[in-house]
Amino acid sequence: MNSDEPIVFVVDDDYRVREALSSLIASVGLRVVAFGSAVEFLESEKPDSPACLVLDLQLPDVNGLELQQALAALDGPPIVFITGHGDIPSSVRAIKAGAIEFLPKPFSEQELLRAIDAAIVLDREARRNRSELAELQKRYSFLTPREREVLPYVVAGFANKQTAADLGTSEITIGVHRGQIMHKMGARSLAELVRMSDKLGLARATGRSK
Amino acid sequence: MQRHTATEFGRLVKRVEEKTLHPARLNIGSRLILCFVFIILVMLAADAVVLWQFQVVRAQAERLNGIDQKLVTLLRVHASLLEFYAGLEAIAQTQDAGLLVKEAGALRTVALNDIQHAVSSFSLLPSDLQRDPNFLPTIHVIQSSLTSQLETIIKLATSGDWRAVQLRLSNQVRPLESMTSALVEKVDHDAAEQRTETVLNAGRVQRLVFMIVPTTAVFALLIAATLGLAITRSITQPLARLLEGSKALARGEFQHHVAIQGQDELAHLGQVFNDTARRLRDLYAVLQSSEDRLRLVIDTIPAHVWSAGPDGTVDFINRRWLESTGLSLENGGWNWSSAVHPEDLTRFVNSLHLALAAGGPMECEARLRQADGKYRWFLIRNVPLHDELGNIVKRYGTSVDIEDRKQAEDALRQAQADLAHVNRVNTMGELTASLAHEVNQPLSAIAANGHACLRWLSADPPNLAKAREAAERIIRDGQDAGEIVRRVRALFRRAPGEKDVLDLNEVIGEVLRLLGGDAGKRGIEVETDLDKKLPAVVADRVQLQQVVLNLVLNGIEAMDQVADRQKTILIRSAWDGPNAAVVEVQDNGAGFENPERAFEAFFTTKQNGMGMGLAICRSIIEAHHGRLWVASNKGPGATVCFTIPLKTSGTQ
Repeated sequence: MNSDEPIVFVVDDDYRVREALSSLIASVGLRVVAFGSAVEFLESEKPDSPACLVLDLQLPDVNGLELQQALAALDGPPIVFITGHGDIPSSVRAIKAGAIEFLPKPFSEQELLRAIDAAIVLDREARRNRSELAELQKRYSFLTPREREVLPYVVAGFANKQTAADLGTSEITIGVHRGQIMHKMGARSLAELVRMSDKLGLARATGRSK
Repeated sequence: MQRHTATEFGRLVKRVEEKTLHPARLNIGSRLILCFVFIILVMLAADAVVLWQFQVVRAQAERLNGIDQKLVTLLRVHASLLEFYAGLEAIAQTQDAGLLVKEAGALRTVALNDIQHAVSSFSLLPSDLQRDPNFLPTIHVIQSSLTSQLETIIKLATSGDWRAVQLRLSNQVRPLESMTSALVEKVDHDAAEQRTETVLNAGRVQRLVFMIVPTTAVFALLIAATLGLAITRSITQPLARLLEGSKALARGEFQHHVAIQGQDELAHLGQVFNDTARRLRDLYAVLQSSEDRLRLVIDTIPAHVWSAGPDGTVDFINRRWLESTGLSLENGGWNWSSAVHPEDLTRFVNSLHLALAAGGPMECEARLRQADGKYRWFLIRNVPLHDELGNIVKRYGTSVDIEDRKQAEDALRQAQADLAHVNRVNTMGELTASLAHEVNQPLSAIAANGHACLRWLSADPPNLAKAREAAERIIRDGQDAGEIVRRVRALFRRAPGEKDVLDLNEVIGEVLRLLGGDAGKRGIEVETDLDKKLPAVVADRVQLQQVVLNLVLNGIEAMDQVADRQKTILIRSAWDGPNAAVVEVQDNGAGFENPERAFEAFFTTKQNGMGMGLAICRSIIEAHHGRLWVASNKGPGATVCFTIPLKTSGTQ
């Protein structure tokens, strides 16, 4: 199965709505998997592909907003809420917590589909970001502790000599470490290494003495 | 001239009054006694004068009498002398000496007796008549010579010398005779003189009497009149002052002071009067201050105080009330009709008349107009004051401001009504929300399926199988929605829950109590015509209340736009045949154009109505085996009626 083919999850306790949404979403060529409850959804095997969750606010087991919170920790898919009688506080909470859209029933199909598309685009982006970060983290894990110490100096633009003085070693050793870091991280230039470091959220060295 | 005399007399009286008899020196009693004593003395004096004059007259008469007596005595002496000589001569003629001796003694005795008698009579005469000095000596001469002559004659006779006797008789006795004759003549002459004098005197005295007696009488009368007038004035003047004082006192002029003169009873009375007036003044001052204090209390207490006559006419209202109403009693500005709110006036007047007729206390709540033209609620109370006979002499009342309490009551009632309304709306709202959700689900599904169906059909190539599935789901969901609506209607029609034995009138009463404030606030008159003898019904109390509440609220809301007539709701309970009761709720509002449509769900004539009321009511009543229908009024408005079986009919 093509891992880039998006998938839409539908969670609604009403089977009629579930079926209708599944059919509507399938009619625009998207994969659809529907669930009757939050638990069913959480326990299901999810393919590794860009996804979107169309979530009913009122569910018999877990409230839609609670599910949203739970999914946020799990890098869950972006959520499009649908609701039978949505109230303003719920919608505000949902949007603030990152929901793509909050649609009261009956909703227009165009709004729903546009929201789903947006969600998938967002998720695809997020997924790419997430896989890039994972690759960088894997590469970073190959660095020795000494190389991880040197990296902040390199990305901060310190000369080898100064770094060596700070870390109490020789300029030659620092030069070797720098070469190893560039190689292990797969950075073709210092600029790329700086970008990678930022992505990993590493701090830049400020120097012990100036 | 006469007037001049009169003024003179008046002045005299005044002078006498002022100086001689200054009034009130003496007590009136003593003064009167003195006056009478004086008058009596004056009269006695007058009488004495008269008596004296009579005495004078009588003295003249006696004098005349005395003169006559003197003359008679003298004449008798003269006659007896003549007789003596005649007797002696006769005896001498006989010359009988024995006879002469025998007779001479007798003759001498007679003559001497007569002379003696004359002397004694003469001595009895008044002295002024005895002025003749010769009378008595002459008599004595005669008396003595007579005796000696006789002895001489007897001697001569005894000697027989008759001649000498005769001579003696003629020579010596004859001069005696002439002596008496001369005396008689003299006395007679004197008598004539004196008589003339006396008659003259008597005439003078008589004239004097005629003058003196009337003069004395007039004088006495004048004195009596003067005194009487003076005394009367001395009494009437202080009396007049006292009268004037008492009149002033009666007018309430306690400052009046009666002028006091002297020390008599009237002066004492005047003193007492002045003392009494002063004490009255003091008492009045005390009373005034006490009244002021009382007035202060009455004006200050936090209530309106008023009093009215037995007929209910207000004659006093305290300052607090005057200030709060801006009206006043004086210029006739006070009457109940200008004070009481027009809407409360009839009720108030009825209450007042009822209390007046029954003679009992009165209590009424009414809005009273304030100085700023606004009305405030007051509790007006009034009690009668009875006299010993039980007649009402006064009515005393208070009016206490209960606006705040009233507003609180209104607010409470409003809150209750609002709560009831909110409850109803909430129930309806929840029901509606739930119903909307129920229906929304299949409707959303239908819409989504419709779009899906269209997309499957418009795909290239069209996916007919998927489109068919979608269409089939549309049909299924549509039926679902219908089923939901059916279920909701069934919900309303479901059998009532707990049934109690209820008094229908009590249920109506509870609802009306709940609505009291709302109806009053909207200016609606709620009337009831309840058959008190209705047996109990068996029903769900809450549902039955909901029905009555709904019908009455419907009626009230239907009258919202009514402005040209009194808004009235009439609730009637009555028998409907032997086994059922009927309740009618009649309003005079807009009425129904099409009564049967009223029971359709979501049908409403009201802008903010939900149109569920009558439908639900009918469901409830039918669940109780009753009927609910709408009847048109003869006049404006509508009547909604429902029947409900009585307990006696055996319905359970």
